[in-house]
Amino acid sequence: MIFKDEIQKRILVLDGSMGALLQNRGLPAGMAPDVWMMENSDIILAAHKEYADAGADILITNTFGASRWRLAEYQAEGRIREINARAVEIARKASNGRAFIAGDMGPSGETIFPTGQKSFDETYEIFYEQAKILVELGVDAILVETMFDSLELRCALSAIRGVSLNIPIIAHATFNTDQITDTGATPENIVAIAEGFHCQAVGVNCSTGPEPMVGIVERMAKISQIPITVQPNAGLPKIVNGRTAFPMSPQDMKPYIQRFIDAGASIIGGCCGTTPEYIRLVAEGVKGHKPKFAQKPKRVIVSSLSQSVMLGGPYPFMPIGERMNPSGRKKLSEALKNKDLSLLLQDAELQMQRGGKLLDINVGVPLVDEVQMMKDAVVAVQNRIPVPLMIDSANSHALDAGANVYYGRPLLNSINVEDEKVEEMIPVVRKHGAAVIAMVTGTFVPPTAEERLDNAKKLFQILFDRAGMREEDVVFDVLGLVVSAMRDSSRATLKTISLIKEYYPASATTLGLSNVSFGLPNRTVVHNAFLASAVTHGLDSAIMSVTEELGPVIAAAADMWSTKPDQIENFITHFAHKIELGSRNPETARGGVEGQKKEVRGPQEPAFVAKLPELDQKIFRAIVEGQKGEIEKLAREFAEKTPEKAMDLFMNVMTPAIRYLGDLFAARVKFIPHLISAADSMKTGVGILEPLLIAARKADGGEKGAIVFATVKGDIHDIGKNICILMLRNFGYDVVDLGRNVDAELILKTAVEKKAQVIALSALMTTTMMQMKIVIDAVKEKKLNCKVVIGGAVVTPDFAREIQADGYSTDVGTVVSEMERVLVILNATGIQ
Amino acid sequence: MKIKAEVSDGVVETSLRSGLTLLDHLREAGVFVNAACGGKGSCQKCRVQLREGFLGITSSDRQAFRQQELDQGWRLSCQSRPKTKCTVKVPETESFKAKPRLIKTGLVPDSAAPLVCDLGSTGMVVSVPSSEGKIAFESHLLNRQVKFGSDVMTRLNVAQHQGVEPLQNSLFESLNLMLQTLNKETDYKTEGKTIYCSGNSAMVSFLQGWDIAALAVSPYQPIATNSETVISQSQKTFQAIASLKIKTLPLLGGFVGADTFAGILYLEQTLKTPRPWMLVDIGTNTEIVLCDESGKLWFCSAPAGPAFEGGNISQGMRAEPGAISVAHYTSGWKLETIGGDRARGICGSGLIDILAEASTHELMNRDGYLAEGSLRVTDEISLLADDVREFQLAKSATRSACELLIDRAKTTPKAIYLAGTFAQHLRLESVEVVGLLPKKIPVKQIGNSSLFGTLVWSQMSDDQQAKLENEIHKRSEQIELALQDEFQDIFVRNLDFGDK
Repeated sequence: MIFKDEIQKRILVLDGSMGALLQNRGLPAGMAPDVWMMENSDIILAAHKEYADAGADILITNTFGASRWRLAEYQAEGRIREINARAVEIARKASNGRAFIAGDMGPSGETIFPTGQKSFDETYEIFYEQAKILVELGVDAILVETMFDSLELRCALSAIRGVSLNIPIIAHATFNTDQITDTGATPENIVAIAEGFHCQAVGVNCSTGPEPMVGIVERMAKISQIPITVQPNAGLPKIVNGRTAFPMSPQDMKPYIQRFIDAGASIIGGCCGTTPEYIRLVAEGVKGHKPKFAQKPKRVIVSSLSQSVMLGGPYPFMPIGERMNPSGRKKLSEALKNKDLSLLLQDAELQMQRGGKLLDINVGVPLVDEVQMMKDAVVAVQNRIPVPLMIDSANSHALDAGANVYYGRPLLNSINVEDEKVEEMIPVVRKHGAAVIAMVTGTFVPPTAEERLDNAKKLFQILFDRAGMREEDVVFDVLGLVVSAMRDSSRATLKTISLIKEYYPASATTLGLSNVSFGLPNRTVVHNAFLASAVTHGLDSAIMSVTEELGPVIAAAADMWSTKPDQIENFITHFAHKIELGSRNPETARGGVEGQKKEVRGPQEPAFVAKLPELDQKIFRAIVEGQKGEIEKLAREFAEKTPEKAMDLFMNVMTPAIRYLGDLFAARVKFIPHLISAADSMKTGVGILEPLLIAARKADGGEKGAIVFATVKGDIHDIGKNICILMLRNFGYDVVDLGRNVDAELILKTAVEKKAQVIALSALMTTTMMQMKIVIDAVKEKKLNCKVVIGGAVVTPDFAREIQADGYSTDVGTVVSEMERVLVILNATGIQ
Repeated sequence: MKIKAEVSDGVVETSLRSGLTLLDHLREAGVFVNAACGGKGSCQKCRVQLREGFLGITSSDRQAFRQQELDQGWRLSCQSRPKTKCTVKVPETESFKAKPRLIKTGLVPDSAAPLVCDLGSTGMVVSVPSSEGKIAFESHLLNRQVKFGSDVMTRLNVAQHQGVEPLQNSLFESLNLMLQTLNKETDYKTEGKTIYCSGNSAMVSFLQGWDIAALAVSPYQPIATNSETVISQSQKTFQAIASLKIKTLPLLGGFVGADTFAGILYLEQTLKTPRPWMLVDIGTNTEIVLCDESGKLWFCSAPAGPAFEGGNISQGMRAEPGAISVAHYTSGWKLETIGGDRARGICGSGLIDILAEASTHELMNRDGYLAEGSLRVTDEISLLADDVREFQLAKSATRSACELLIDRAKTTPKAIYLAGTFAQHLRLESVEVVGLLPKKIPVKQIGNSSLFGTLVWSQMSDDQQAKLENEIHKRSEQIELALQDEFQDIFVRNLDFGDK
C-alpha cells in the first residue's frame, strides 16, 4: 500500500489518544510520554496494538514531544534519536504491516516571534532535527499536530520539506470554540499554509470536543484541494479527583463520525480522551464511504492570519493594493527613513477600509536597512489589519525576513527569469511554502506574446526543478507596459494573458496597472480602459489603486465578459449601490482613519426623523420619551387625518422609534423603566391605530411568525422575559407567553401546535440554565423546524454556543434584532 | 511543559495538561483564584497576567480587557487553555492563601462552652465564648468554597453536577484550618467540643451533606429546616474536627437560612427590639424578615446578584485591602481604602458611596445615566454605565422585596436592622440617597447577628432549643417574591435613584 494512493481511495482511520490513554495506564502526571516510553515500551506497544486491532489505518508514533527543546525539560535531549527510533520501532511492531506509520511532531515548546521570542530560523532547526530522524527511520508520513500558531505550523512544515520534498505530510492545527486558533488563525489560513507545502492532508485535532469541529471541517473542506482530516478529543476535560477526565464516551462520540464524513473529512481519528473502542466505532462508521473531496478548480491561494484570498481559476478579478510602497512618495520615504511606520499603517488601514483584500508591501528606501524594516513593517501591518500581504522586495533577505514573521501563506514579489538573484530567491520561496510572482520579462521585453510565454515556461521549469513548485504556486506577472511609449508591446500583453491562462490554467496572472497610462492625460481613464480589456482576456489580478472605487468596479464589470463563471451574480452582489463616478480623494477621506476615537455616547437620533412630517416626528419622539398621554393625542390626530397611512406610520415611524430606544438601551443611555414606558406608549398608540392596521395587514397578507417564550423549568424569575415579550409584541410578533417554570415538554408541544418559528428561553439562575440544553436537544431530536434563542442574566455567548442555541440575546436591548437575525436564517434555509 | 504561577510568596508550578483551563492548572497547583462565576468567563475576576510563554486571547478576554491590557498579557484564567509553557502572575487581591486570622478580645475563654460558627459564603468565623457569654477568640477565614465560585448559586450549580461532597469537604477543610489555628495559637483545646454552625440555607445544606436538588431550582427549598447534627464519614479525615460534634441551627425556609434564624434570636433575646421590626441581610441573596405586632414573621429572599460584593462590577472587588470603601465628592473625589492601600478596586460599600455622591452632585441622572459614559474615580478606576445598571438591578431587588413584605404584612416596621459584616461598613446617608431600602424608616446596623444569635442558641438547653425552634417555625410565613403580581411593577419603579 502506498499512502499517497490509499488516501485517495477510501476514508482512512487515524488512531486515538496516546498521552491521555497512558495516564490511565500509569504515566505519572507531569511525565513526558516520550521519555516514559523508554522504560515502558510494552505499554505503548499494547496501546498501538489495540488501535491497530480496532481498525486504525494509520498509527501515530509516540513522538509528540520528542524534539530537542521539549526533551531538554527532562534532560533527555541527548536521547532524541534513540527515543524517536524506539517509538517508530514499537509502532511498526504493533502494526505488523497492517497500518501506515505516521511520525508525530507536536509544537516545539517555544513560540516564534512575533508571538514569542524564538526566531523562525532557530525553531526551524529544532523541527528539522526531528523530521530528519523520522524520515531516515522510514516513516510512511509525518503528522504535524496540535499547532496553535500558524507561523509555527509553517515553520514545522518548512523544516520537513527541507528534509524531503516527497514525504507525505498531514498538517493539523488546534482550534477553539470560536473556530480560530489561540493566535487567531482561521481554518482557511491553515489550509492555505498546508497547500503551500504540498501536504497530503490538512485538518484539525484536539480542540474543543467534536461539536465545534464539524464546522471547522466544513470550512476547510469548502476551499481545500487536499483531503481533510479530523481528530476530535472526547469533549473538554475537567479535573475530577485530581485526574483529567473527559466527558464523552465512545457512544457519545459516535454520531459525529457520520457528521464528519458529511462535512467532508477523509481521514478520521481521535485525540485526547478517545479510546480503542471509539476507534473501532470510527472504523465501522467509515466502512464503504468514499472520500468526499470533489475535484475543485485549480487556483492560487494565499492567506493572512485570518483571511484567505484566491487568485485565478474561477475566482473574480482581485485588485491588489499598491499604496504601501515608498517609490514616488516622498513623505512615506522620509517616514520610513526615520523608522516611522505610522504612514505605512495609515495606508494599510485606508486600503482595507476601501475594500482591499490583498495588499502589496514594499519598504525599499535607499540607505535604509530593508531587511530589518521589512520585518518590522510586516509585524506592524499584520498586527493592525487582517488583510493578506504581498511581500515585495528585490532583496531576497528582505523577503525572507518578512516571511519569517508572517502568520499566513505569503505571496512573494517577485522572481525574474533573467535576474542573477534567482538563485537567492528560490530557496526563500521554497522555505516559506509561498506563492510567488513570476515575471515573464526581464529588463529586455520580448516584443511578442509567444516569446513571453517561452520566458514563463523557462521560469516555471526552474521553479519546478529547484523547489518542487506547482502551477498553483505561481502568479505570472505579464507586465503592464506604457502604452504611449510602446504601443505594440503593450498590446502584446493582452495576448500574453490569454496564452498563459491557456498554458498554465492553475496559475494566476497579474500586472502593475498604474504604469500603463504613464505620459498620458486622464490617466485614470486610460489605465481603467486597459484594465477592462485585460480582464476580458482573463487577467486575474492587478497591482493598482484600491482607494478609488472606479478601478475595482470596472474590473468586476469587465469580468462579466471573461470565461469565469458567476461573474454577473458577483457584480450584482457587490455593486448593487449607485457608484459615484470620479474617484474619491483618499487624502481628504483619510480623516476618518486617523481621527482620534471619541467616546460615542449612544446612537444619535436617526437622520430620517428630522425629515418626517411634523406629526410623525412628534410620534417618534413621544414613543422614545415614553409619553403615554401625548401619544394618545397624536395617534388620534393621525388616525383622523391620514388613516390610510397607519401601516406606514407603524412600520416607518413607530417601529424605528422602539428600535432606536433599543439602541439607546444597549448603549446604556436608557434603562428598563424607559423601555417599559416607551413600550406602553407604543401599545397605546398601536391600540388606537389597531383597526386601521388590521385592515392594512389583511390587504398585505401575512404576519411575522409565532414565538413561544418561556422561563425554563426550575426558574420562576420572569421580569426580563416579560419585558422582552412586551418589546417583541410591539414589533408585531405573535408571542405565546408560557410564563415561568415551564416544562420542556410543554414548550415543545406548544411550539408544534402554534407552528412556532422561534422558541425563546430565559433563565436567571446558574442552576436552571441547563434546562435550556434539554429543550434544544429535544428540538434537534424531533427535528422541529424552529430556532431556539436563549437569554437571561447568567447566560453567556459561550454557553449559548456550547449548547448549540441558534441565537443569544444579552438583554432586552438586543432581543428584537437577534430575533430578526434568526428568522432570516430560518427563512433562508427553509424547511429542513 | 510547565505552567508556573507567581503568587505573593513565591512561584508554584504544575505540568501542562492538555485541554484543561489555566484556572484548573492553578487550582491543581494550590493557588486559589477568585472565580466568582465559577469559570464561565462572565465575572471577569480570575484575571492573571502572562509573564512568559504564550496564552491565546479568547473572545472572553476581548470582552474583559482593553487592547492595551491584552498587550500587557492580561487574560481570564477560566477561559484560557494553555497549549505551551507559560508563567503567569496572579494578582494578590484575587488569589488567597488558606491561613486563618486569629483575634483575641482579651476575655477569658470558657472551656466548658460549645463553639459557635458563622458559615459566611465569603468570610467564615469560629468563636470561642468567654466566661461572661461574650467572645474570647475569633478565627477568621475566607471560605475555601470560593474556589467553586463566589456566589451561592454558582456553588449550587457545582453541587448539581458533582454532588454535594466536594462542597461539604471544602467546608470541613475550612473549619479544620480555623480550629488548627485556635489549638496552635491559644491554650484553648477544641477536642471533643460541640460547635454550633449558622449560615444561609445553602451553607447549612452543604455542611450537612443534604441533597440540594430542590434548593437549586424552584421551589427553592432545603430538604429540612430543623436543627441537626452532622453525620459524615469524611469529617473524620480532617484531624482537627474529627472529634467535634457539629450542629447546625434551624432554617426558616427557602434561601432564608440559619443565619436569619440566629438574627431573629439576637434581635428578640439580646437586643429586645420593639415590634414591628425588619431584619435585612444584604448579599447575593438578600434575606429579609418582617416581624409584625402580633409576632408573625414574614420572610422572603431577593436575588440581588453579586454586585454588593463587587461581582459583575468591572473594577469591583471584595472588601479587601486596596478596595475603595468610602467616597466623598466635593469638586473632586476623596476616597478611603481598606487598609489605606493604593486604590485597586471598589467594594460594595464604596460602590454605594460613589453612586450616592454622584447622584447628589448630579454627576449621574436620576435614572442612572452617566453623561460622560463613565464615572472616573481615580486615574485607574472608573465606574462604567454597565456597572451602574448592574447596581440598579441589585438595589431595586432589595428595596422592592422590603416594600412588598411591608405591603403583605400590612405593617410598617419601627426600624430596619441591617445584619452582616457587609452592612456594617455602609454609610447610612448613602444607603438613604441611593434608595437601597424603603424610605422614612430608621436604619440600624447590628453586625454579625448570625454569629451573635448562634451564641444565644448555644447557651440554651436542648429543650429550650426544641421549644424555640418549634415556636419560630409556627410564627413564620414565606412570601415568594417572584410569584407576586405587583413585584414587577415595584421592581421597575425602584430602578431609579432618588425619591418618587
